[in-house]
Amino acid sequence: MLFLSGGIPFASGVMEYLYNPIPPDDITRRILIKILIEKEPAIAVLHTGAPYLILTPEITDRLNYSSDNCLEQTIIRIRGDRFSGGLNRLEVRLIADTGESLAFEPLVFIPDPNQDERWNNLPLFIGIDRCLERIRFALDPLETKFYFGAIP
Amino acid sequence: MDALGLIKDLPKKTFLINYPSPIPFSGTIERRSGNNSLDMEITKWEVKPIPNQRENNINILLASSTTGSAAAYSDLSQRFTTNISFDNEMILLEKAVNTNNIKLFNTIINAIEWENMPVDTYIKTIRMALLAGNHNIARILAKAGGDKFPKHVEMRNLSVLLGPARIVKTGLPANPNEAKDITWLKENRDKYRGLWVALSCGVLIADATSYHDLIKKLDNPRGRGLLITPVY
Repeated sequence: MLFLSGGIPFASGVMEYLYNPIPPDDITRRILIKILIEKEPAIAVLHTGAPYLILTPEITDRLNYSSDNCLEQTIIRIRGDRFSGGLNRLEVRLIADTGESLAFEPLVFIPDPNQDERWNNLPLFIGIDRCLERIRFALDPLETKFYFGAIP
Repeated sequence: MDALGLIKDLPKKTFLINYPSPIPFSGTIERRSGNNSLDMEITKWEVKPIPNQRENNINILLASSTTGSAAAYSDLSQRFTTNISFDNEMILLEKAVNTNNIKLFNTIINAIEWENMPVDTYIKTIRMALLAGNHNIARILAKAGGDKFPKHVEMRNLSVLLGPARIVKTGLPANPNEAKDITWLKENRDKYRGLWVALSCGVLIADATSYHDLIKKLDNPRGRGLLITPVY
């Protein structure tokens, strides 16, 4: 896969990504990767400025999860709007098309129910802080490939 | 009440000044000697904001008897001491959370001398920071509290929850089938854009105009490995 100088592995797996704008607000394109959250597949927007894995009401429903199950309650701001929800740890997997997959446990924001209208189809965000911070990644824009590997 | 005594007993750097209306304030109090308009010797206490706090950039002079007798300057003492009340940081933080004032919240947090705070204060403040949406402060305090009180279960749990992400497993097998859904989304984007779809290994299982309509079409989709997503 990819190596640092000295032969230290940088990335151990690679997956293909999508590169599309997210309606209704985006006019520029986003990097979207497929992840497994507690084994449920989902498409997440790679957002290097965001913290945590920020679930949508839909994936929360699919996971049969609730912010009531969360360890702590919080407020998070997304594109200027405040959303209430809970924080918890869930297992997330990056599944490689080639190479090795990995599982990690980020901090996850789980929105409270009854915010669907205000949520306005915001996507699932996968951020750096408390989420991808232990994973090296690199992009190949030509091949739309997302390379990743755990930081030992 | 003797204003001098009140000030001497004040260990805090954060307090409320009810002048002309309640203003949460972080700063220092400095003693200034001088004379009042009656040429009586007084001690002036100057309240100074901590640097870079433009919104609280006020100076208030507190007057007090140097002998400790408020009666000697009853009018002066009473006027100022009744206008000034001192509150603890927790009440101020709650006010900041309730008024959604992150800037004020941060100001108070920065003014607190954390090395002297008990574990309950850490825990309560972390929770208030989360409710204020101030995740960075919550994480910093969770780390500091976890380091300082490693045997306190609740503090440790908060520290772990808000701590760094953890790698759980590496070396898991690849699955080339996972890429088939991405390929389908690329190839069918124009046709299905704006709809919700359920995919399995690159095969369309169902589509609908909304998530809830799609779920109705699928018989209990949980645990079946279906990718359920809007087409972006």
